[in-house]
Amino acid sequence: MNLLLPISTALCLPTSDIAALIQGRIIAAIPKMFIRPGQKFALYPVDLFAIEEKVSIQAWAKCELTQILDESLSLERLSRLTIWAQDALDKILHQQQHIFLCYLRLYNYLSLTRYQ
Amino acid sequence: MIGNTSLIDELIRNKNPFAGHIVVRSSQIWGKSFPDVPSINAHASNAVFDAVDKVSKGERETVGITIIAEKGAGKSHIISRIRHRLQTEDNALFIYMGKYDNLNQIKYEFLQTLASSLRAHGSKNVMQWQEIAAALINEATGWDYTPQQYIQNIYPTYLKKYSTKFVDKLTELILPNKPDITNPYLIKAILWTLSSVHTNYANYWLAGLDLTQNQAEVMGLPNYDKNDKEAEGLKTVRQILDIISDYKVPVICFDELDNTEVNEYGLLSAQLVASLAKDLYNNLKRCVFLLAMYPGTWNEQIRALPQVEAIIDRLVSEQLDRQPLRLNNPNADDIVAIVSQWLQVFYEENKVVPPHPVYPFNEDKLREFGKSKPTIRSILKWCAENFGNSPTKSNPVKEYYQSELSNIEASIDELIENEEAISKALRLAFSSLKGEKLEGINIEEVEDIQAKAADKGYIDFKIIGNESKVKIGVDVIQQSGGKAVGAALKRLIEYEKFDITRGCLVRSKKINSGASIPNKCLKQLLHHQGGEWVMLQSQDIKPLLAIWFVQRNCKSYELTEEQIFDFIKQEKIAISNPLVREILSEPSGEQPSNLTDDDLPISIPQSFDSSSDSIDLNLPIVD
Repeated sequence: MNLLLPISTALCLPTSDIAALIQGRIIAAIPKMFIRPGQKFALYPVDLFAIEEKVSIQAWAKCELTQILDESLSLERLSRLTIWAQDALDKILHQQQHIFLCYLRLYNYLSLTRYQ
Repeated sequence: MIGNTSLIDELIRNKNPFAGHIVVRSSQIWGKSFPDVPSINAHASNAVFDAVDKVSKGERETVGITIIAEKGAGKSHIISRIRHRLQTEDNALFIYMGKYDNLNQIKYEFLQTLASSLRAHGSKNVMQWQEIAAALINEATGWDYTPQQYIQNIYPTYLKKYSTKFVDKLTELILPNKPDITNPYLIKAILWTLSSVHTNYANYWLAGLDLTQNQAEVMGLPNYDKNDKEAEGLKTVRQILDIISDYKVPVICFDELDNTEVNEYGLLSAQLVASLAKDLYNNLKRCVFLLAMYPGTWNEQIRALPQVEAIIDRLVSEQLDRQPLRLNNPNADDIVAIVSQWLQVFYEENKVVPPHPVYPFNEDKLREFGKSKPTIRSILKWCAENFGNSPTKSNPVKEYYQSELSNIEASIDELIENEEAISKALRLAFSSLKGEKLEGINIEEVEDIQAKAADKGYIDFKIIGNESKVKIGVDVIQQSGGKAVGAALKRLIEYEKFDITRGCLVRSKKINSGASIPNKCLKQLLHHQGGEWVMLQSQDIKPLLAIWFVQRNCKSYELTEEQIFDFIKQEKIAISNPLVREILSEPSGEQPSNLTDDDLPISIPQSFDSSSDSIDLNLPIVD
């Protein structure tokens, strides 16, 4: 891995999702668009009501795989396997027509070492 | 023919047949073909020819074929080969989509692509639309005229006698044969393509664009309902393709799918096209699909789609292993064959006889090069760099720029209607001028217009200068329909809302004096708000389009943005362009004087009073 590689893009995710990713409670995120395998991002926390002037980026991630889920698949199973409640998933599906399930490999931003 | 070596060497010093032609551009798929060696990757082109054959014999209804290969491995070469072979045959009709500018309205954009593909000439040297029109009439009337006969003799004779009622009558005769066609105006518009006076307007209407009120009334074609362009677009596409497929097998080709743009729901071009192809596959009577993409696009983007099995079944419908066809990189023999083919064309054009077919290259060296299994593109690039005695000193951007310029010459009539291309080309020109002072304006920034959804897509961009004191909003409007022009002009005079200090309309055509809203807005813009109307002329926009095409393809051409901007500066492409200067210059407050007229020339009687029942379809025709 080239450690000097600048990361010019950010993936905006809820703070709680980023925390769960860092703690290893989930290995995937639900971005708003299809992420291509190999794309790298800083994980940028965004929350619905707070727009902070300064954010701290704790980790960056590389996309390993993205799956697209639609209404033909059971969201109940996805909910059981992840931290997301089924009604939250239903809402995303309703708003965006699809759910992009993006599997991420995480790296610590400062030490640039991989999270286990 | 001259066989003199010194003449050949001089030719080689002065001309390089490979330079600037390393990438197949979509205009080359339509126009003059690339030198081709048909045996290379014949499995891929034959798959398409076999499919056309089976569909035209009724053995299959729809076939989907997907070709995968890495960048530069010859996908577009294969497509060019398929198009040129189908052009010589009578049973297929070729439709090509190679750009996806509006992913949020891809079905509507496909309709426009379909219409412009059908404008291209087919096997009979007339527009493919005209071939269909002649077939429709022959079938309904029992006549047996060629499209040329309709264009040159039949239409002029009948239109002179019966005016537009002639086309009404033909439409009435044809409709009972086409019970599936719910939109009778489609048939009428196709019939209008055979009238040389009306053909451009018919094409325009068939592409889903608005006619002026006058044109629409004369031709009896109502303007589309703009509320649901996407849904209407797909319906129209289906009906057009169903009409066509009664006579020919439509071959629909989707190329250049490997870009990274997404639509408003986050889906990529390749994914949207795969779904579109699936929809069409399910809904068309007869059709052959061809998709070309990188292996990575197939594996990572297509295979990630929901209900992917159903999509794959359609995109690779003939493959038992459900895998797309792969292209092979050429071997040593292939390389010698390709290079000989290119050089043969070059030497024949220049009327000289080379000492051997791959002169000035060495065959052994070419074979050696073949061991590394290069892509077609890298072979052509190597040839361009090693042709002639001294390496070419010219700027690499220049070769591509020249080649794009000559492509544009061939398609300028269509490009001048393409607002999106024109505005993007202008935007690139202004972006290259940041930091320059021109016509009294220090150009600082070129920006998007911030607008709410309802106002999006009108003003194209703004040029900011003189410490943000000048903000010129630029809008290219080439459409004819009064509604569309009015909607755009209304925005162009809302300076405060869109944070501009001057509105600038770029347009080549007159605005119909009867259209009240456009004229009111125009008066406001020019006389009260210090705005400007700049005349769009093809000679001014051509160089800007050419350099924009180079920039758009810079990845394939292996050029950097910096090289392109340097070239724009060095050749003064933007700074001395009259259109660019006119947009920046102090507004004159007047309309340009030499605008073109957008109305129908009156060469047929504009009315014929009796009903179409009294039309005698047996007029003597003078050959």
